[in-house]
Amino acid sequence: MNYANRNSSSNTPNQFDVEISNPISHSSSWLAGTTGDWTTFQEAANVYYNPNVCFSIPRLGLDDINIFFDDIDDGSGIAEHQRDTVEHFVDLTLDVAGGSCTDSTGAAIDCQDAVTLLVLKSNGELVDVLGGSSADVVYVMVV
Amino acid sequence: MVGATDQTTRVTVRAGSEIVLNGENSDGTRFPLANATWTQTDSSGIVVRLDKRTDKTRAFRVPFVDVLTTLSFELEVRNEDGDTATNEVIVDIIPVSDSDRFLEYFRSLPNQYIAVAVLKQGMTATTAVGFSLT
Repeated sequence: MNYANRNSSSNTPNQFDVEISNPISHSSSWLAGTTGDWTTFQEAANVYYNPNVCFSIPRLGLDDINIFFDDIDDGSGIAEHQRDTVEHFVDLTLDVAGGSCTDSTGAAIDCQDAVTLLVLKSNGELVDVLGGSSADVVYVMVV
Repeated sequence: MVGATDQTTRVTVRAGSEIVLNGENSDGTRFPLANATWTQTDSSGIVVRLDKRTDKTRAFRVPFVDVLTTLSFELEVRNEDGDTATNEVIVDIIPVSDSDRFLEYFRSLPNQYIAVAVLKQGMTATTAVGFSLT
């Protein structure tokens, strides 16, 4: 959160982050012999051997903000109309544990390099393809 | 027939945009037009839903793709004397890369998401590969 008050230095607003969700984790595996056989990301998301995890992005309410704000600014808090833009950061990490993999030529590769993450909306619309196994997804909300 | 001249139109678009296939210039010349049909004709494996806007117009949302992908569509018009003519539209889709920043209206935030752990295209697990998604 960025905000300015009478104690702020010029061009250096106060800043802090608000954590609004506990981490969730899901573990599974690809069986030996499984090959990534798909042509579109929607198809990749639908094939049975690629497990998926459903999650919600919690909405950031004024109470979540004002708990912190009260602590640091003597309880003055902020009102709805004083909030303009909200950025939600979702950290996603895919960690591979064990196993062995080959690429399309049959050459052995690190399994961590053989995987990637997709993020879709619940209606199936592709939100993002995370180029590797971990990334921050940033959602900017105009209030 | 006017507006359907066995010609091909080619356009380049970005994934996620909306395309309107417009056959409104079609005319049956000596006889009125009886019908107009839009058909997806490519073999990309991606099937888009063509939403009807008017009798001669369809719209669709350009799907998200990993690599440059080409879709093609054909408009066939038929007049009341049974004469037909066709036009082809080719749509080249440019993938959107590094788009992990999204602008959403807070009030309408679609709050449910699905993260999918994917074995990349062509990769094979020769022994079981465990993973955790956090």
